Amino acid sequence: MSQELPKTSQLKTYKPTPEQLARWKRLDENDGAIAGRLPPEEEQARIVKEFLHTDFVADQLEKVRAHKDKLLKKLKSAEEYEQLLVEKQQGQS
Amino acid sequence: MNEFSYVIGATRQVRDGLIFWAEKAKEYVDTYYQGDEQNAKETRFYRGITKTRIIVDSLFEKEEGLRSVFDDQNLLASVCIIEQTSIFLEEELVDCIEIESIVNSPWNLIKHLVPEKRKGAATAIIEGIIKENREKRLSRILKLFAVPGEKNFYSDLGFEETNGSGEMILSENKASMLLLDLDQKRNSTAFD
Repeated sequence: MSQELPKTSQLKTYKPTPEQLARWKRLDENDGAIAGRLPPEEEQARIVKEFLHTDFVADQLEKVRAHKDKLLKKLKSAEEYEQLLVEKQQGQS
Repeated sequence: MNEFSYVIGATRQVRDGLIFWAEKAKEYVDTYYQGDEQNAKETRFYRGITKTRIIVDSLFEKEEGLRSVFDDQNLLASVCIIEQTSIFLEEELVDCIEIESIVNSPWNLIKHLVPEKRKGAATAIIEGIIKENREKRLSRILKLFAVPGEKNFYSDLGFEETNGSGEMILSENKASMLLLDLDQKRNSTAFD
């Protein structure tokens, strides 16, 4: 009966180079990553203040309801257009 | 080495995680900055709050581009918004994935040692994006804009500056090298 060999990853046999070790250490130490453009300082101050001093859940609830209304209007418009096209198609046949 | 699970899209778990981030951000300002966010100004944590808010508000239009990682505590550790785009490389227009915004959780940004902190979240999200695009046979070239204090971090991942504006590119070759490097890290005892 053959014995199952441990997976390579379980053996942990890789010997890193000194450069790799130094880089991995730096990556761990600096792992507070942020990327993407940030607005000017005054705008950041306004955003942070708003974020910390408003009820996040209530604010998001208000925004998601406004977004939902917008999507419902788009859906209604798409349905009306669909109906118009169906009627045109039926008129042609 | 800390391990993270990669999530595509704005799932309920991710939304719940972002609500928890907001609660923790307020708690940290009270605990470590005397309840005044101005005391946190110029810190990574402060910039992270700004970026988190920008991401949360853009989710209504861009939720399909949301990618996240969860840590071993099942806490949301990092989120980003990606978008397919193209870029001129050596006078040729090629497909690439733009990382429009990325931000770690408040506990991974604050300098104080808090129990929730887990190193490696941002690296894990970059690794997840490369692997996802490899599986979908999409471009593995990544583009992002690095704020000045974060350029060294992305350089160590293999990103290269293009024109000094902060725009950085991870080439296909460097993306493959990063995956190999992370496998080697997992396969060594150095960061257990």
